[in-house]
Amino acid sequence: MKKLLTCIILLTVLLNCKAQQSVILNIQNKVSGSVTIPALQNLNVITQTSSLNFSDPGDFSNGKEIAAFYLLNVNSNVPWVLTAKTETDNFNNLSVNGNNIPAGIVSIKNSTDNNYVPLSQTEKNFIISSNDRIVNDYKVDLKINPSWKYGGGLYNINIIFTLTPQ
Amino acid sequence: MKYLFIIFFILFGILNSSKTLAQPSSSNLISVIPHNSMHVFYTDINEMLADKIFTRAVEVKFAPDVPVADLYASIALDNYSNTSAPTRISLKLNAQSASNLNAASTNEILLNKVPIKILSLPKLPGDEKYVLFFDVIQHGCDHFTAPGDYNFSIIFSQSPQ
Repeated sequence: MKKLLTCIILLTVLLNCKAQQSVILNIQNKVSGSVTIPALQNLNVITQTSSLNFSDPGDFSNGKEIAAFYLLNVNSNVPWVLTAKTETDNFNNLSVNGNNIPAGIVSIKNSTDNNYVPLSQTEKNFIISSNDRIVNDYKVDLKINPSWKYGGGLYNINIIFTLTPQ
Repeated sequence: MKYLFIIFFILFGILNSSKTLAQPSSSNLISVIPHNSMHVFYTDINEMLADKIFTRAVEVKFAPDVPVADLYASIALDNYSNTSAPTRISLKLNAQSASNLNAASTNEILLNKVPIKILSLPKLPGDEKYVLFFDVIQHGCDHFTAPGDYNFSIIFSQSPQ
């Protein structure tokens, strides 16, 4: 009888402890959610003008320089590299008597840099991310130095900027 | 000796019973019901820059059994080992059943790993419960974020004032 009583009491104590535990857990509750993030990038290129006129002798002697010719809006959530190249090795000659003008007379630079980068059909690293901000804007200066070697005419060339994760 | 043993257990049982009575009763449990799936899958960089609002995403039901109880919320982050993870999540009271909560209660509250008090709730008459609807705001991010899947939980808890 005494043993039975002891067992009942022991059982009561254990059940009490268990009940107490479950109550404590229930006074908080939660909801869950998730966020999935891939590497995301976007590049906007704004051009001041689509055509340049070389009419001053100084444009041929010293080249023509246009500050902030391109405005680049770089958006990326991962470290990035922006490359630049020309679409072709030479300008497209749109005139009857035009010459083959190499792409290398075109050079660009970040407006905060000092040195111009001559362009070619080979992709070159132009700007590499230097901070961890998603949004970055850059002004790109353009220089075209045709010299006196080429005949007058109408020429065009496409410049391609490419944004990729590092 | 046997009697001493029995008396010890009786006393222990009584003490434990009184402790249990001091624990919160079923009336002051917090019921949390999700109403809006809080899953974000970014497909455009511009989405990441803007806040993502889950309107009335969470319903909380709670009946304090003390004169005033404080409702707390915190955030638990899984897979967030990278420090550049998107961790800025806020709660905003959108709607509620009781009229005795002041305007300040509707402020956006940025959640943290440490529980933060979001409301002080006076006891309601009878069996009445507070029914609170919260907007969950996943804040836009303006810095690099390591690609991946991030899980979070919003934990509600209460404490007598």
